[in-house]
Amino acid sequence: MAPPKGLEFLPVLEKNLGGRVTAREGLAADVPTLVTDAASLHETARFLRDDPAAAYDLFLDLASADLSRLPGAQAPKTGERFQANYILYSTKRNAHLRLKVNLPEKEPSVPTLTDVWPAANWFEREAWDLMGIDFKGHPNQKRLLTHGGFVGHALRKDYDAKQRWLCTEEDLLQTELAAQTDEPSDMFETTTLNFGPSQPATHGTLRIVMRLDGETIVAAESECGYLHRCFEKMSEAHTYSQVFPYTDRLNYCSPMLNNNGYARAIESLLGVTPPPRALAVRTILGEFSRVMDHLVCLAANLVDIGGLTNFWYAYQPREEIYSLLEACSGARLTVSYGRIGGLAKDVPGNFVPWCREIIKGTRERISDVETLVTRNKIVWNRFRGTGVVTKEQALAWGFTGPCLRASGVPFDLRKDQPYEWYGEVDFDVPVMTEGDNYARYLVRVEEMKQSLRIIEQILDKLPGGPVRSDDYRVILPPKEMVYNEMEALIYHFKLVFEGVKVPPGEIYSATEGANGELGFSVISDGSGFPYRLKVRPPCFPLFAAFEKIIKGGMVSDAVATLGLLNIIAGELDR
Amino acid sequence: MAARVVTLKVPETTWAESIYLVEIVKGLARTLGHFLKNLTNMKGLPTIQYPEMLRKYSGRFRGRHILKKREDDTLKCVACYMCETACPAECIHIEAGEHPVLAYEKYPTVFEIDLLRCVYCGYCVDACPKDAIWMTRDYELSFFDRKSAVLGIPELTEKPSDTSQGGPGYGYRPYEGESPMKKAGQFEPSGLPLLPALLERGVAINRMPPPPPKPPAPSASPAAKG
Amino acid sequence: MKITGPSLPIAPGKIAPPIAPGVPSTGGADFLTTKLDVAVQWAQSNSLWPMPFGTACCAIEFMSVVSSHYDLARFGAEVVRFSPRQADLLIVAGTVVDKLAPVLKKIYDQMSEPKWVISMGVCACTGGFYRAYHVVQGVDEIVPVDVYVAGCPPTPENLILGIMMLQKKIQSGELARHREAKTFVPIRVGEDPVTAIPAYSNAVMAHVPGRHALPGMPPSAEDEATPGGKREMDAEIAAARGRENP
Repeated sequence: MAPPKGLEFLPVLEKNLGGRVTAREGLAADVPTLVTDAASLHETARFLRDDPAAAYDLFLDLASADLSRLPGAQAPKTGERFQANYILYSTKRNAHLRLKVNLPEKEPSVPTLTDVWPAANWFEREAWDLMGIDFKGHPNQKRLLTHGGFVGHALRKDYDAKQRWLCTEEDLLQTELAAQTDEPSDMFETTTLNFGPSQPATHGTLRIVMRLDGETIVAAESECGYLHRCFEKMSEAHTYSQVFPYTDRLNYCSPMLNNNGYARAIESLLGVTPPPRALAVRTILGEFSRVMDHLVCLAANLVDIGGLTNFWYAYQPREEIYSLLEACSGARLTVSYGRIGGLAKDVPGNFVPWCREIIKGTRERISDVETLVTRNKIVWNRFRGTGVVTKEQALAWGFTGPCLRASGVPFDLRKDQPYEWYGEVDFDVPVMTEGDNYARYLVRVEEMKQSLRIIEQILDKLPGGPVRSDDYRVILPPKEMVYNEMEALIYHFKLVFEGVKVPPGEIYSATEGANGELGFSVISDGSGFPYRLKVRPPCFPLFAAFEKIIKGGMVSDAVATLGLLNIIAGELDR
Repeated sequence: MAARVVTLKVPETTWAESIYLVEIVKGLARTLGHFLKNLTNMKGLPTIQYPEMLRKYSGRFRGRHILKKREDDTLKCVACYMCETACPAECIHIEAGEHPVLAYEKYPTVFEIDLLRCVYCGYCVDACPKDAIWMTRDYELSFFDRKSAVLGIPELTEKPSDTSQGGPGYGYRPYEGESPMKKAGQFEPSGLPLLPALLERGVAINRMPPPPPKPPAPSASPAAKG
Repeated sequence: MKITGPSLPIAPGKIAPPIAPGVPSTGGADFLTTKLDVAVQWAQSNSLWPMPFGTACCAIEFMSVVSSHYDLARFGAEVVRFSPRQADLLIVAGTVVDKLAPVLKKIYDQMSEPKWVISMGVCACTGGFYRAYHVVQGVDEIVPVDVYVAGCPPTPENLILGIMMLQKKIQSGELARHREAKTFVPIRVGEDPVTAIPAYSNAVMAHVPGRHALPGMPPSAEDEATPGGKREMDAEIAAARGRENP
């Protein structure tokens, strides 16, 4: 029988591995799924990466899950409790894949995939930290997001969400640093520099410990988790719509994009489509958020290398976009404007002319920044040729977003798998081949201009109509109906007390965040609370690769690179 | 309607850019231009001179909460716990008590919001079935200690100063203009004028103490302003 | 921790010794000292040098405060110093997690007196809506906080109001007496379900003056014995005050 769509290579794979790999049926909106076991995982992974019919060169995510509390039909087989879901992507075939492995309750372990996809390194560390899955052969299986004194695996269902542990010490990371240098750990020749977590140039709570020979970095080890706010555990304790305020605070520089991504994931799981006006407004505000994020990235980075004026120029359009977001939603930064099935409220009456004014002002300020920066010799010396990431390295390290496009891979979810209104507009996706900091700078500036172009096109044809779906099982009905009809009143009560009852299922849904692919893996169990919500943060692989990018360079280049990778700690650590 | 991939090229360095002096002049011209423009147009400066100037926030701003009252000065809130359930931060604490007027059934004996836990998401306003909790545009919420940030019923109840001239004004609210409850003709017991009829019909039992003398009606300050 | 200062009785007309290093005294002093205090307090309050300990979204709002729309420079607080040695106002902007707690403590300790702390945003004040396994439920578990600024994130005006309130407090001379670290008072809004961990106890935080165990917790044997425990501190302060006001 014909293999399922997207899995044309499956017969060859099945022949190689016998019956140890099978396809799994899922929702139409979900990515295709293969199920295998821990013993065949490594071979399957190699095949998936190397076979030209499969060609999954990008490792996106590792979503681990503890299935012990799933009810009824979804409950795992006896003895099995954990699950590891590897999300992969093929840039050649524009196809996602989920590779699922079921693991036993006692000592769940799988072989590491870091030799197949180096990007898997930190994802596996996180799965060990939060879920307790052991990865055999992992080079450094240590806690990543929680601190060294933490006991237990936090995302397991039997871990009490409120149990905290004291942290009194910081880890000096000397063993890892010593492992990276060829010489014996000779502390007298090199200096150890602790960069972060309270450091202005890290733009957030990131930490890199470096060994310097003069100013050259001979070894570097990065550490994150200094803003691990337990988003995933919190989302299990709140209803689907109560998770929206939490998503705002993921990438807090572009809040609307997170709302959009999450809403899209749940709507796909439910099979609900918001009305066209809601999608158009989501796209417009999402693109404004993207502009905001790129502005803050450039502003902060240019401050680091000494161009302070650009900070004030870049913040001016941000304030205007804040006013717009505040008039739509009620808050400047943490908007919580999206709802499952549409938006919280309709946009104000003067939305279209206001947006056009903002676009005009933003274009002027971008031009200001460009005049000062783009042909500036100092910037050229700082940015050209520093922080170089080749195309193969970018793919191996799991990059997505502007950093991947600056290295030569034209992967943009808005172009490759359009959603919302991206299929209805013309825009350019800028790509460069050099892969250095200057390339990332140019790509971001061009993306901002293209975002403004997208917004203008949608403003020209903004549809009328409602912004909230009329399916009141998922969205609160309007107050007029609540007071007039008994049914609407019951929907209102049920939605507040029980939440949106999402039918049992699983989905991986991705949108193009400002830094790359923002993915949500959701497992629902039929109740109003998400069973498992995993976020694929776009800057996680970027920061994981940072220590490799800066090795051999100088400290000042490291600062420039870190800024242009645009690591947002809220998203990195969740 | 499509997306196009465009490969950007690094611009060529010109001789003028290499010696850098020309770029300095160009950059300075841009910044000096802004400086002179601001000097000659002080009114156009973007700086909002807080506290003398206040930024005009929209009518949907999510600030401090208020509890609305009916026409007879009782709180609209019937202690149904919807806002406490809808709140993602669990910052609302309500204790219900039986209201002497049977038609009102319940009222909150304790209604506390911890402003230092609240994330100002507005979900309580969305959830309330009686339109009893609104948000104002009051954002001036700084405290010297944590205890003073827990607001109880006296602090939360709507006061005339909230909507008068110079007050913060209403922000995020469940409706603008006329109440949909009124438009729907829903029976919203608005108190004492109806009470004799209710008593006559045997629907209500009056256990209330006699009402306080009514203060003089406030002069022209429409509630739906802003 | 011993309190430094002379232990001789004070003759009238002389300037009283500081109660703690770097903190001007206001007890029983003469005209010159009072005027000097007023001048010093005026100068301190109008030239606060903030150290933004920015972690999350509130840091972005802090960046808006120092930008042109709100301009903290009008209050003398433009000189944002990322080195605690050069700053006197620690603005904790954003969520502090357990992994970051020792870092915050270290930064606070590295600041020299006089220093003040503003806790910006509900995550820093109470943990906000992150009642979770890795989030500190309010930075006053670790450092004494002077002003709590509510909001998620607070509007820039609210932060400016917080700074203005702090300025008033400095000018009133209230902070001249040696401040005790505020203890973490669990606010009972209903049942506050967050379990206070028997964590940041005195033995660990021994070098924060006046820091004592969480209320409701029996003082441990360590607390009694550790120098710098509350009892010893109170006795020393009382002794110093007794010397000033015989």
